[in-house]
Amino acid sequence: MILNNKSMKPIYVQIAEWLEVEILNDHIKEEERIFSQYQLADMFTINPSTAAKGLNILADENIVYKKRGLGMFVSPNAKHYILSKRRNQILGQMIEALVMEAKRLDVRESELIRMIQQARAESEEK
Amino acid sequence: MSSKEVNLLSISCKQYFYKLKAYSFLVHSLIIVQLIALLFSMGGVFNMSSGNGELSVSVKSYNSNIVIVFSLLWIMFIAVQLISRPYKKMEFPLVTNRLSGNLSNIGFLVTGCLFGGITSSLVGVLLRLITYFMFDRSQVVFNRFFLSDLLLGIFVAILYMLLFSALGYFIGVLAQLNVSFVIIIPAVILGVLRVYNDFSQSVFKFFAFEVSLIMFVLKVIITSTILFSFSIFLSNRKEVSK
Amino acid sequence: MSTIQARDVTKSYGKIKAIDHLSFDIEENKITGLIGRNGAGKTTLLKMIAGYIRPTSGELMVHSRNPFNSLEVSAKTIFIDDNMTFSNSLTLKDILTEVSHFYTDWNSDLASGLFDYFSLNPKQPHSNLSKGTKSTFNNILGLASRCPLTIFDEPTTGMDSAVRKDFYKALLKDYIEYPRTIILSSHLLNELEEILEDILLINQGTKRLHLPAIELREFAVGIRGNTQVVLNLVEGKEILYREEFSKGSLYVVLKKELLRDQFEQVKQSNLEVVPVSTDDLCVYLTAKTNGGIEDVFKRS
Repeated sequence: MILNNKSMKPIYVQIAEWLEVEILNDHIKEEERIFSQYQLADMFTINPSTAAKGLNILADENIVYKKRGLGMFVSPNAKHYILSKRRNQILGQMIEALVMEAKRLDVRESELIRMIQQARAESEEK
Repeated sequence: MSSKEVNLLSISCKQYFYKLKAYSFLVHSLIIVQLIALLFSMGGVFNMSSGNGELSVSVKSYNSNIVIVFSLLWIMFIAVQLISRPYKKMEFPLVTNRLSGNLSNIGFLVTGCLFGGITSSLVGVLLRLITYFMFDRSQVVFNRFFLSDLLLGIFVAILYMLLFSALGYFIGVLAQLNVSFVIIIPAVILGVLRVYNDFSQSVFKFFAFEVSLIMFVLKVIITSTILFSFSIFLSNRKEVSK
Repeated sequence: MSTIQARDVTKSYGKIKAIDHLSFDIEENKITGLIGRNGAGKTTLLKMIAGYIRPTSGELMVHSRNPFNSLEVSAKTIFIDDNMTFSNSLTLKDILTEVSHFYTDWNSDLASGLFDYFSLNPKQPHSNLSKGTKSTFNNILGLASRCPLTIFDEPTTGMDSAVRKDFYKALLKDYIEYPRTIILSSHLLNELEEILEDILLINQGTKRLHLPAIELREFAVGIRGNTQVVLNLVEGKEILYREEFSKGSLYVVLKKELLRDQFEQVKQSNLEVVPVSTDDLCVYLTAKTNGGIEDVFKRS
């Protein structure tokens, strides 16, 4: 099954991912207030309910939490959680796809590892 | 959300003032109509000449009757217009229902009557002045001018205009109900005038031969009110689609 | 609370039913997109909501009242379309001033701000405006009125794409500042989808869909692959659209929930699963035949 979902990723998922990146880059720090649904709606020109759904994804994963009357705040270990989630999920998926593609192209395991090492070294140099 | 009560009268008033501004071009048209009527009047409304070979007498009388007749036709035309679709469409962007639209239209017409009644009588005064300066004064006989006559003239002109505006509005509403009325109404009016001569004459006499001013005022106001009420009643249930 | 409640609303003109037993609720303070093809009945429906015309049968309530010929509903509703006319005696600035007296929540700062931003000429009469500028001006009236129910019927007719984007942005910003019920009708979904909360899709006077805009993206799914395999999979299910690409290859679109139990089957059967764009979906849902225009050329 091939999911051709890149352009079709729902907007609220894109909002959630964008906020995660903001947290990872320390643009929004832990225990700091995160954008409200209205701020997000204004920034991205989307309906506030769509923005709220994006925030709810983060709330469901405890990346943000609600302070009554004050809004949403970034949880204490949000960054760590996002990092490990992305490692497991995104990197996991990418590696799976990589292994599949390598198989199809007859690339042996040792060669694949060597390619990864080389790519890492190149990115290190930059 | 606004919790303010929506008041029919205040909305109608707002619409009235809106229409005074928006329809100001109609008032300008009255001035043009009256100027044209004045030009017609300059030739003399009534000519009479007689002679016996030796002597010939020619009498021209000048008055502002044409101006008043033109003004009456003008207000009737305006009244028919106000209820037509292009004007209805101009109400759409406002807060409105049929009733407030009708009330503000009537308010506008009454204003038109006041303005028209006053100006048509004043044009009569203007006509006097023009004849006074244009012609050889030794050959002109003037009726004496009384201010009270002028005021009475204005008052009666206003009332007649009111009557005609109510009639015009009613015809306008009928024409909106069914397009065929546009043809039927003039046909019926002409038919009644020709066939039921007595009836139309008695209608004419009902107003024109009234000697008591108070009775005349009452007759006009009651007739106009009935006509306007029928118009409101008939147009109130009608759909207005753009 | 619902701003609009429609129950079995029907509007017929002679034998033709412009609106046919339509029932829906539009909730307060939501932006709803009324989507449908030309002649689907959008304008007829909106005119009934605005109280200009009366349903032939059924019950329609706006602000808990019958809207037809109602002053109360009119005071809380503004209907913007490109048929609006104003007297030539009024300049654009005059119109803004005059209309403002009628609406209690009128925001004159917003009106003049937008007026200047779109560089309209205050001295011009309304009838001299080009189609796009007229739309822009009418939309300014609609936004500035801040009516509890603001209806835009095809608001972007004739506007260029930069102005459209600005309009949607302005609408959203003012909505965030001052939430109210807004209905936008359009035959196209794409450029306004993101600012909508709900979508009401109608076709030939009937309701096809009424759901949150974000659910529309996940409403349907397209499946492409070997004709026989595809046919086996979708047997007995309602197909929204089908198209034969080449001999032996078929593309079908169907509701995602119909396939819920068969995702494993799809995975193993080497079929391609493609998302369906919301615009395409709307076209499929409002088509008369489910083969689209292709059918016409395939008769031989």
